[in-house]
Amino acid sequence: MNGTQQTITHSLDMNEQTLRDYFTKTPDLIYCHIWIGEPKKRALLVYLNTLVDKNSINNNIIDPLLFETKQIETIIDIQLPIGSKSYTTKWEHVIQHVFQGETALLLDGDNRVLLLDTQGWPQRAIAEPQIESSLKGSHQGFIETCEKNIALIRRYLPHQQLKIEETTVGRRGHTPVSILYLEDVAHPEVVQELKDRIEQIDVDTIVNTGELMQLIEDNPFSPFPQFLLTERPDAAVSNLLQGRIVIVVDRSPSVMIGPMTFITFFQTVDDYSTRWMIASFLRLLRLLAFFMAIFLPSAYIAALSFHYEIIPLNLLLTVGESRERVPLPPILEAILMELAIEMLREAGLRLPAPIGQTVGIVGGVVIGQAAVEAGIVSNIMVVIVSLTAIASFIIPNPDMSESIRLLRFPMMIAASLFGLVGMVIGFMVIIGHLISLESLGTPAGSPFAPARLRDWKDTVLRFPLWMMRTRPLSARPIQLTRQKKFRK
Amino acid sequence: MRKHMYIFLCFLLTVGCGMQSQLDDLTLVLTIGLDEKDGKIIVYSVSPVFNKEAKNIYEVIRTSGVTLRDNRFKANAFASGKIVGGKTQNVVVSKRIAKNHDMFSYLDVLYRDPKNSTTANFIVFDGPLKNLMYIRLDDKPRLSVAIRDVLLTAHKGKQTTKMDLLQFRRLSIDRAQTPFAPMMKVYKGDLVAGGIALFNEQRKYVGALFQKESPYFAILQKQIKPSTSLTLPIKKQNKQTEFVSISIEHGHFSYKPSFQHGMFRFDVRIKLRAVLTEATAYIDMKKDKQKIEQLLAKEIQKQLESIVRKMQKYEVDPIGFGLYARAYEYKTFKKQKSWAKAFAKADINIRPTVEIINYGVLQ
Amino acid sequence: MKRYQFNEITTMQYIFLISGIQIGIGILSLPAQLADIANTDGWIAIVIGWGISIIASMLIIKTMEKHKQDTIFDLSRRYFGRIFGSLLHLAFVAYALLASMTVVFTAIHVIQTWVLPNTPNYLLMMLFMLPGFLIARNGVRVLGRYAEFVFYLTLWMPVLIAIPLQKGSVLHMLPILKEGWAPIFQAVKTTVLSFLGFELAFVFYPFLKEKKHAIKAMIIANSISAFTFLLITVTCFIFFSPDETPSLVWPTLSLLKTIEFSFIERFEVIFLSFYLFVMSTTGIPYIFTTVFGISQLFKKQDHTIVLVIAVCVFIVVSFLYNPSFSHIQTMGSWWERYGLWGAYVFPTCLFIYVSVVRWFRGGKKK
Repeated sequence: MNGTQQTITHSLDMNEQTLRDYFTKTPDLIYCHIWIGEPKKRALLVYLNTLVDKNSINNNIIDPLLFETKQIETIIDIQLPIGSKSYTTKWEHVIQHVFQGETALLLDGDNRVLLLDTQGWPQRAIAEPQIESSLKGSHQGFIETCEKNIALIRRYLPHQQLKIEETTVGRRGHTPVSILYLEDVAHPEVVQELKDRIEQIDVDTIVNTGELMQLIEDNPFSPFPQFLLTERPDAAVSNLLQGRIVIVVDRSPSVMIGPMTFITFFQTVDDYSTRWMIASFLRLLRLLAFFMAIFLPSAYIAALSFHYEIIPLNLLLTVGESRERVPLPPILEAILMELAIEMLREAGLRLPAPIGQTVGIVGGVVIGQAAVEAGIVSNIMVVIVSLTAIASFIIPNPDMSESIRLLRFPMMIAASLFGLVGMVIGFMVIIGHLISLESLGTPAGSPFAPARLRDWKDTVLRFPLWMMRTRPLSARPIQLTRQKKFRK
Repeated sequence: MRKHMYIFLCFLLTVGCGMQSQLDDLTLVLTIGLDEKDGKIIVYSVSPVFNKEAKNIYEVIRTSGVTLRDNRFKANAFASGKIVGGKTQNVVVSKRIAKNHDMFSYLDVLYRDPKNSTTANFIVFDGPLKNLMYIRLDDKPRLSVAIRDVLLTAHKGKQTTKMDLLQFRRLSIDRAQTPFAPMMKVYKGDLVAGGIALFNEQRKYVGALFQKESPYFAILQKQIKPSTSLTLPIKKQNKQTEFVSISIEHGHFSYKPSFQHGMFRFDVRIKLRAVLTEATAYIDMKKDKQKIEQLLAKEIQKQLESIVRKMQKYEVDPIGFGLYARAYEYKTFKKQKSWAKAFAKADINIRPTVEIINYGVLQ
Repeated sequence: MKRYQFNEITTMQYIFLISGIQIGIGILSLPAQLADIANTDGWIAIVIGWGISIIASMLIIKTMEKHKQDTIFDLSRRYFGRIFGSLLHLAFVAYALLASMTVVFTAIHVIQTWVLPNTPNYLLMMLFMLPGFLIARNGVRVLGRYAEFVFYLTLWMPVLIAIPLQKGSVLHMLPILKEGWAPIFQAVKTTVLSFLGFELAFVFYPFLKEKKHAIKAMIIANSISAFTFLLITVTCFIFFSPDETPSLVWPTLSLLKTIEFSFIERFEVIFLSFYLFVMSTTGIPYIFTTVFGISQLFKKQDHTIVLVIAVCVFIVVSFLYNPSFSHIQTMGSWWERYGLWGAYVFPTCLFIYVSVVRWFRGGKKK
């Protein structure tokens, strides 16, 4: 657009005309003409009504300007009670900053523009994130404003080594993206790798952090996530301390954390505020849930289709009786029920709360019971499907939980074709995939493969906090000691 | 590259669908019975029926042929699902067929085909097998489950022994031992398990130990856990026979083999520690404890020697004295042509001692 | 600049890699073979075989130590010139190919006999090639991680095998040395062949990060394998009577038929399916060696294309050729014969040759 190619001129009228030509059909762009100083000079305030804090403009800009009695020669002479301000001579900056909710002050006769920070777009109050609630931790969650999010993180780590690098992504969106890391802990190669990847993105805009994640992840064909998305500041901070990097994307309440390993998706922040025996028990439960969610329906299909011999006799007689009434082969029965559960789950997301409860009861109890009575599915199948659904709900991270839900289906197909051998080969394929998966260049299968025994203090079991004296090696931190031996 | 993998997987899917064996299409043979008639082998296959429309909960198929596998093919003509033997719980042979044939060679298919279950119980039935197979018990579950449960309970109570197919094979092949098996019969409409069938080196049935001799057999086999109950008569001063029951809790066994004067000699020392559970006469435990222990030991020795003599008479060695002979007197053992015959001539010296560790809450 | 910088493996991974290669299909029939020759004293032969394999492993490491960045392929080029070196190179590749084919076909056969009787050959081959391709594609680093992971995953297996021990009786094994030393020495010829696998140190040594631990690693790897062989052989001997063991084709698997739990019966089906993991840690390194060797011959750095060709060849062969059990035994015996030369005789000769040549060259410099 021609207007922006030009530089800012000294003439206020020409500048205003440039702006008006550029911002067509923008009724919320306010042009406020004022006369300031003795003798009066013309000035122009330009701001987007929808993005600014009107009180701040009225009280901190217009009010002092109107009562300015000194002579104003250049724009530098204008002193206003606004903390953050900058000068520019380029139209791109003016436009960019006006879109960020800043006010541009143009003075007749000066080709510099003063940009004042008056951001005041609508944002919600800090509330607990819905899907990541915790019992004992803080109930604060990130919101859609970058600065507030960084503020929450800074509260946990008031240390000068917490560095922030800012960049923008997207041609139309100009989404501000901030990269936070602890400089003396995070590995510089990993940080550089991340920055390079973000530089290379060329899109219109990023609406959600999830999109950013997909654009920079190592392996888009993998069913497993390679970055963690979280809405909790304490999770972000705990990962920062392990040498990981936090990426805060403006306009999105999730922050992205990398590099991640497979096992970190099974850890929650609550684990660390609970005592170690209970925390270990819960971790083991989650691991068990992981295996159940993937393998239970397949085990049922494999046992019934190929390996009836492994079922103990009494159970076999019961199963035989219940299966006898069902016309479908086990694989179809299983897929039918699993698809029904998935549809129920998706429907539950869309429904408002009161209807949702009713549908839950109707869907879960009545349909399940009625299906068994009608002989379409066997009651053992219903039990297995419900257990699998519950198991997949236990996984704390929604991305990982969805991956597991997806992985069930190929595993069921493998079990129906090749029985137990199919399941083992499927497991091998998953393992083979996991151990070669990388997250920002670091191995995602750590600490299982490559096995780093020192890191096992915090994976399947959680050892007492005072025993975890070093940071985990998975993110290749350059400073390893967390704490000294203080407990006698 | 990845696209090719997905195509390849789809190909696998389409091709691989026909290899399953669905549970509902199978006839699971839970009990196999072998009998003989007119030189042919009669095989009974008992399998559960799942169909709700059927009246009986299990079916019995009777076929006649030359071997087990031959009979299985023929049985397919009767069955409503493919016959499989992966869950066989019991293999019952009648005394008649065991007397005339080498049982082990007929069971070859059960060992050779890995899909067969070798943990099935091997049982000898006293009488014609059709008495067992066509019995319909009202107060017990399915026949196969009933047979197994009755046998297991009897084994725990030391009224008989337990032999699965794998052990039977081991004993059959081993030069130093001969096989044995539990016995079952139908008595007045009930299944009764008791007694031990003895097989000789040619794997033919030669004789049996009675049900009341079974606990002593268990003692000799060193299998007294969880507890072995014996009821023994003792003669008191007034020449009346009183009975004392003990429950043996622990035992210490030592079998010492040696070769003297051209025959094998075994010195068996058994230390039994028992709990006195019943006494029909008054016994003053403080004064007579030693006496009672000696009387009990003598009685036990009598019984043990009697069954050993029986075994020697039949020329069988189910206990496994041969193992000790081979372990400690290898060269002499190797020279024997037939261990069972050498065992029949052996001198077995049994010295049990009983120690009463507890006599309940009565003085 | 280290040539294999990005593909390095740690010492633990190296140990598990080597011992994973050694524990594979041989162990399934080892007790029967030993009992045939040396009755119940066969376990002593295992101990002797262990000693010999350690000596051979040390010879290999000492040879490789002198040129830390070279695999056998580079070595053969260096010492034997282009023509003879390429011949040696090809011979090694052929050996690896033979070994991988034997392992894969035996695995298919065992699965067909014990677990899935109705499934045709080529389907199983396609199924096995799937993870094989995935893992062999990424190089030694992933191979090492996979071996490590599988080791921890299958740690429960030897424990489980020891369960039948309580049902057996030690008397079966007495008296020791009943027939004297002669049959034991005869049996050693069999046991040294079960330790085959350490010769792949020729290929994997340069990838080891801390080369000074190489000898210790080989000793530990051989010991792990020896311990496993011993455990299973002794369990078989104690459980089965001495006349019974030689009558079984796969005594290890027959041993498993006795293990029963209250919630799962016929455990050998599950065990065998997991045993696929153990067999894969034997088969995949051999496949990798074959493919790596061939691509080195053509001076390609990336062996993926050769791997794809190899996988397709395997699948096509399985369509056409359905080996019977005796064929598999023949393949096994060829591998053993070839292995005796390749893993024991060859390293000794190579070591002597290389030492002599270096002494000469050192002399010349002076």
